Amino acid sequence: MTAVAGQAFTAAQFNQYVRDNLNECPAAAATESGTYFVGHGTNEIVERNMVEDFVNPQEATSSTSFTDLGTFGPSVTLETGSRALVGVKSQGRNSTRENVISYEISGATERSPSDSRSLILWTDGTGYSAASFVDAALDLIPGANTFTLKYRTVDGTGEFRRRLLWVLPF
Amino acid sequence: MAWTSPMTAVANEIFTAAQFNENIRDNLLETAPAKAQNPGGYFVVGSENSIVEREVHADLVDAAEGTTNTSYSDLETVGPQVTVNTAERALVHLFCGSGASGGDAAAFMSFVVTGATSINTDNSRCVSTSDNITQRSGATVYLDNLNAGSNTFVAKYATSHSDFEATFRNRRITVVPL
Repeated sequence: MTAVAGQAFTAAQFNQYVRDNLNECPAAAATESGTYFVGHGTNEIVERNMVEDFVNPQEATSSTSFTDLGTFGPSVTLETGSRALVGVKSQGRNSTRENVISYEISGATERSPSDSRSLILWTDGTGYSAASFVDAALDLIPGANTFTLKYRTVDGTGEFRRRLLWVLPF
Repeated sequence: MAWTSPMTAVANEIFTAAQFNENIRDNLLETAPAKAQNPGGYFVVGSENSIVEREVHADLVDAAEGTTNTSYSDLETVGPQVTVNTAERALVHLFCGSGASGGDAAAFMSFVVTGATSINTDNSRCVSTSDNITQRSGATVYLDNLNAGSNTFVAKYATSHSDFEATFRNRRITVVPL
């Protein structure tokens, strides 16, 4: 509201325009250290938190279609808006061809793993190669979304270890 | 209107409409809820006592295309590219599958910035792979020398040896403006 000289400022006006608006600000809505605030719509903000998961064991697959390894994941479930940054890091080796790591989205959004959103690791089969990538996941359906790493090999047996997934939701 | 340091109330002094408008209304209009317009936007400091909403922007070109140009240039499909309102800083992430056709050749993906800022390609700001193995990986670059305003980020490509074609696919650029 715009105050007008000479007009009474009522308790109802204070509650609507001062109290309720202040309660929409980050200081009032903040609940957890390290979180951040993003737009949730016109004149609306929401608190978000970055989440990560890590799977350490060395495990293998010879599947040429995306699949899980012996230990599922890493996988995270969190509330997102329509966008998120997805970080993937892994070590891998394969004496025949490339190892491929992508991520699947399930829940509010359904999106299959894809070579266009993947990390490819290639070694001579003796040593491990390590690499990472950051992907912008756009056009998500807002809500609870689960991000899970999936794996495949182009040929041969692909080994994977120290697999990290993080998601920064907007 | 802009942010004003909130007044300190004094007992028994009248709280005027003008004071309400300056200290309450105008300051509330500078807060995040007042400025939120786009789902998924986030807030950064624009200047002293001022915040601004920003958004992540990304573009993807899947087509596998190549070059034998040893100077950074476009591929048949230009890009990927994004145009973003930024202040002085941004995170730029490059990602692609790439490889060169033989020898010790290397494939390079970098980017230029045009618009409010002019920044040329540079091997210190690139993703590169060597030999004839197709790898897929990325690199994140932090820029703190942008001119505030509308900046366009465009991916560019090169090979290290003109005798060996460098091929690129699943090319993505992501910009997180700060």
